Amino acid sequence: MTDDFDDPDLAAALRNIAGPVPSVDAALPVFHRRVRVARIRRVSVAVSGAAAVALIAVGAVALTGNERGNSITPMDPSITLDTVADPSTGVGPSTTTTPTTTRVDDGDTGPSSGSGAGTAGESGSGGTASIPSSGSASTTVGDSDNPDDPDGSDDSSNADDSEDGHNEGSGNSRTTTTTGGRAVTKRCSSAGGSFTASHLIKNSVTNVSPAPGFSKTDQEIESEKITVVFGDNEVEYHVVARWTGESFSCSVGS
Amino acid sequence: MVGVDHHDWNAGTLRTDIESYFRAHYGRLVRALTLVGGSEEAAADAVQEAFVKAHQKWRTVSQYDDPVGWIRRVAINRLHDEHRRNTRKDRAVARLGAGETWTVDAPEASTSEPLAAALAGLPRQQRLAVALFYLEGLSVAETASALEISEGAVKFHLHQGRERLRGLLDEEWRP
Repeated sequence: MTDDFDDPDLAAALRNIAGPVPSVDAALPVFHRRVRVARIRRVSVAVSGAAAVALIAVGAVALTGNERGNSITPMDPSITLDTVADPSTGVGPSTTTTPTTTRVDDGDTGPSSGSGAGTAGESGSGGTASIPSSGSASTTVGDSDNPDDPDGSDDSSNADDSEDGHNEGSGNSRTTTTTGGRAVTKRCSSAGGSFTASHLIKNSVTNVSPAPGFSKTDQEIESEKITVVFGDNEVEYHVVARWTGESFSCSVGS
Repeated sequence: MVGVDHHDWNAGTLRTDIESYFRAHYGRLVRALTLVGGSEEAAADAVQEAFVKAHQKWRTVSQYDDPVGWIRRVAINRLHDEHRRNTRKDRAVARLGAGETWTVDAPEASTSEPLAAALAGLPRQQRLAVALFYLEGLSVAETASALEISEGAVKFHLHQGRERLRGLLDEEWRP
């Protein structure tokens, strides 16, 4: 104690006010009990924290999975795109969009005797068709998610359906999506021409190759677009890519 | 001060260490803080809690030069927190117009005694300095460390507190 403030009388008086020193023996069990409680609390907090972290991790994984699914869904064309054009008459094509995802191109491209624009199927949603005056067919198909057609069948009335029709002209292009959005088999038949797949997700093209039995033609793959130029009468190409809203155009006779 | 073996960290040693400190310092610490807080129960709670925290961090705390100083500071801080909490309660009750406020700030045991009343009238920091210096027997430096203030401030508080208490003490001892 510093001499300047040393005051035994004051210290004694203060001790008198404060009373006796509390019993340690009585306090010790209380201390041990509090230590146990604190330990249990820490363990429970740690367990809760671990559970929370696990829950967050599971949630994150689930969200990531959903995100992937969401990124696929709008890109899933779920459509069958039939484009028939008759350049000999200069009349545009008919376009049918259907929400099917399983339709496989059977290659049945019969001759067409009809001319004139077909009727867009009523099951297609968001589809637009542009008819170039040069006789080339350019078809853009939008979102194929059609709630009106849950079974995915093509119930549209198409007067110029290439499945049934036939084409007397020299140009007949037909494109068909075959799988669920990431892969598409595109077939064009004409006396030369080209088809283009656009609106692709940038750099998402993983494969562009002629289907078995078809010869390789010139192809150009850009980051968001594929162009295949062919000189034979018919070409069928497999395209594996992802796209934001499918847009295929098949030009014939050029 | 109780010696600690810093190398043997099994549970038994830890228990013995902390118990030794507890036995050596608990009583004096509670008594000093009772003089500050006015309630032995509140003081005991603060000191117990400080020892529990020390137990949780004993491997670190025991490495300090003055583990008891750390425990003392934790106890004082806890007492401060309790005091602030009670002050807020008092103000809230007053705002609600209950008309009756309560506090644990004044010493309970002998508020009738002039010395106890004078002690209760000292500023809180001054009361702490007086209690730690005269009751716990800490030096000026140790008191400064416990209160986390400078030694000059401790001397100021001791001077002021002693002036006021000593006057009453002289009157009581006067024939």
